[in-house]
Amino acid sequence: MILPRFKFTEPQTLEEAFEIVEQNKGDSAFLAGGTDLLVNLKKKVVNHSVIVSLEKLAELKNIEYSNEKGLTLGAMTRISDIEESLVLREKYPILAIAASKLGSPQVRNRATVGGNICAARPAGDTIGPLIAYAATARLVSKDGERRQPLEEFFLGPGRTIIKEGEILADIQLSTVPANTGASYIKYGIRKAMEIAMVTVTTLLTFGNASCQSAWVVLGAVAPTFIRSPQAEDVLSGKMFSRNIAGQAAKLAADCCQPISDMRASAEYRRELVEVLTRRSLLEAASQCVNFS
Amino acid sequence: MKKRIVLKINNQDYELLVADNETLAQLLRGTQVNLTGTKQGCEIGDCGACTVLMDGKPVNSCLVLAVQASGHEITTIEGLARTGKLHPIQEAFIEAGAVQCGFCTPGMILKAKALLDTNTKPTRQEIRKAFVGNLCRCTGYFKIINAVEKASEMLSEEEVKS
Repeated sequence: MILPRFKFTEPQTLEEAFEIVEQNKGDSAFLAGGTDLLVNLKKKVVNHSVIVSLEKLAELKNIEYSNEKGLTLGAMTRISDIEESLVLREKYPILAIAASKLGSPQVRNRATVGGNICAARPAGDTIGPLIAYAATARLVSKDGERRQPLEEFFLGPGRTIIKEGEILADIQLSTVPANTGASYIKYGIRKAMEIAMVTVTTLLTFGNASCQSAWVVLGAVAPTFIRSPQAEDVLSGKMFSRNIAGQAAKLAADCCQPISDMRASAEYRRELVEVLTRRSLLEAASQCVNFS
Repeated sequence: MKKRIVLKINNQDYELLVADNETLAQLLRGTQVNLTGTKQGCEIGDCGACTVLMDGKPVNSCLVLAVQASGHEITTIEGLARTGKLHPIQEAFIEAGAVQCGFCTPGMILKAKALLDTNTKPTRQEIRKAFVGNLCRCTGYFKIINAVEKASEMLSEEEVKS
């Protein structure tokens, strides 16, 4: 499979990158890891006459963690670096777990977290955990920068709030409160190299034995990742129990809008959401409290 | 207009002119470099036949642009043998009968090298996990996993001797 002709550019600074995009209005694409873009170019799903590599932009490779400020993760951070980072495994375990389930080792050595986000697939592996950790995205452009919660970042499959001329620079995650349990479940037929049928991410913070706050994030069951406010409400402020996890799981299944496709029917996906949400909540809660 | 790149392939310095839309796999196999041990299978990053090591890490060379390889060290299957002597992983693949049609073998062996460089004694489960991105349509993987186990033993014996 031959790549179509394009002009490869590799700006050394953000300013240079903005300029290239402006000079080639509507005709350029950013290249991060290439595991999506190069495939789509080969398959002729997309066509761009100018490719702008983000590889040399040092600002996009920044990784910093502190207990006060939390985590800054440059958009060009490789998925394998997330998977292998001891700090991330300890502080943001389900992000590291989700990273380890993306594609193959060969893909993870190239693919980046920024690419996974900007591809905006409803099954993108890192997105659920990032939303559950309340990540915000920093978008830079020649006019300045803006910061958006990742939850409000996606408009539909492959569509985000990024405007032409903007670059996703990094993602920020605040520190996770003590007594927090989290779980990421990716469900597919295969154990590897799989695009999920359904993903469920849950994150529960406890005070004493009651659940103070709950996040239930569902993937591949709507045009974008969604939270289930009904499920979160029923969990928040109450003692955790199997019963309540079951109620929340039902509410999560009610709020999703799955489609039928080659991977699963809508009905099956809805069933999966209920089963997996319950399972995920029990797993998250078991990291913090004893319940019967 | 072609771009000038400088890179190391199998420890040898190269200065080459490449097209913007040329992949690393095409560059390696093309007339300038002429190392056809790297195979091209699916060409979209699913099969792992084109696996090479970039700075020691396995990547699908069909999804890396040749220009992006500039400044990096690439290891292909041709770079494993030393002075006419096969690498222990290659010996192990032969001994275990892990090669049938051979098309996936270069990628498999380089993936094995990357694994054994970071984990000298992998379990069978760890080996299986490491190879999720390398498809073989002949063997059913059983003998390939045996070969990697054998290679791990051979490499640790070599370590003891030296």
